[in-house]
Amino acid sequence: MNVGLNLGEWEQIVLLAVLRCESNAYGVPIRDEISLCTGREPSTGALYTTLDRLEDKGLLRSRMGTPTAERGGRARRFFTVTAQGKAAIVRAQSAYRRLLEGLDLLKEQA
Amino acid sequence: MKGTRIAERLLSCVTTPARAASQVGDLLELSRSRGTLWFWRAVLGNAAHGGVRFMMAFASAFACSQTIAMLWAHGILGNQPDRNSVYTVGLLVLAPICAVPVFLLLRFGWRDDHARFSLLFALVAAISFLCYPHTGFRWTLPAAAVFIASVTLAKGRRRNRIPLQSLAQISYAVAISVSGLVLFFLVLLFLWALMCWWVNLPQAFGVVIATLAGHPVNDLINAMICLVIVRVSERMRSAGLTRSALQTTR
Repeated sequence: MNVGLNLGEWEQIVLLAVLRCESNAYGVPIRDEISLCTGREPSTGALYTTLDRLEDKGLLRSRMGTPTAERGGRARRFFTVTAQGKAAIVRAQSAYRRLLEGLDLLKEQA
Repeated sequence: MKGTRIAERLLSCVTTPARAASQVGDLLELSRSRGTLWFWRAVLGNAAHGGVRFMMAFASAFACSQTIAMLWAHGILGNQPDRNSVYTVGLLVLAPICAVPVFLLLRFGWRDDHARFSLLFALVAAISFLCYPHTGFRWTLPAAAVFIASVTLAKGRRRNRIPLQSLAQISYAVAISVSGLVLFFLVLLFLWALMCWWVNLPQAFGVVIATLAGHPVNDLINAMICLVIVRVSERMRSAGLTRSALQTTR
């Protein structure tokens, strides 16, 4: 099954944001990263639903951190992209790149 | 901030307790610059987002359960048609074992261990239940299926979980569903008695019984069984996820 083709735009954004946050990828920085890079502020509901769905698909993995007082004694849930997730994002982005080839749209924007 | 426990409980209805706790923690962090109103709006938004998938899965499981009830009532599943008392023991066994995998597959997807396990179990149990006319086979084969599936669950990632624990969880789920059904009938019985005492008409009994034998109440009972079963399934799954998350942290 070609998992990459099943990734929607929003799923790709979330996966890339998780990759960009590296070892500090939990809800708050992921949301900030998406805001910073895309200019749109995602709703927390949409973000957590997508994170859960990507984890259920096996594209993300999560682990619980240590509880902190500033969060009312609640632990952070850190995400990492699995090898399958990385392969999926590469496949999806390669498809975009192939479609863009020869169009020079990025150069026009610059 | 006050009421964060309520927020956590609300989110626990649509996701696992561990995920709900981390979401509330994130929202608390974000709400420091945005305020209390934003926090509660985000909590409700998260609950709505998570609830959509649950509702869709539940509706599909309910439809599956209703279809089986209808087939059973017409004797299409190899049983004796019995339209007056639809809720025989056979149907009470068959409807949940078919509805639960539908719910879990839609709620958590094919990759989920519990969804796969429940589908496997439902296939084995339903086939053995429908194919063997002998009563002994009817009950021993599903029991064997439960045991085999429990052993399967105990393997792989959950090595520390012994088969008996899985078996106990499934027995617990069945016990909860049966007790829910009994409780529902007891409440109905109490309402009948109250109504007859209040109206003081012997005919009231006949009217109520005739209404209960009708389809809408059967639907309601079916929905309640389905709801109890899916909630127990979710709790079982979330308990497993929490345990594995804790193991990962250690």
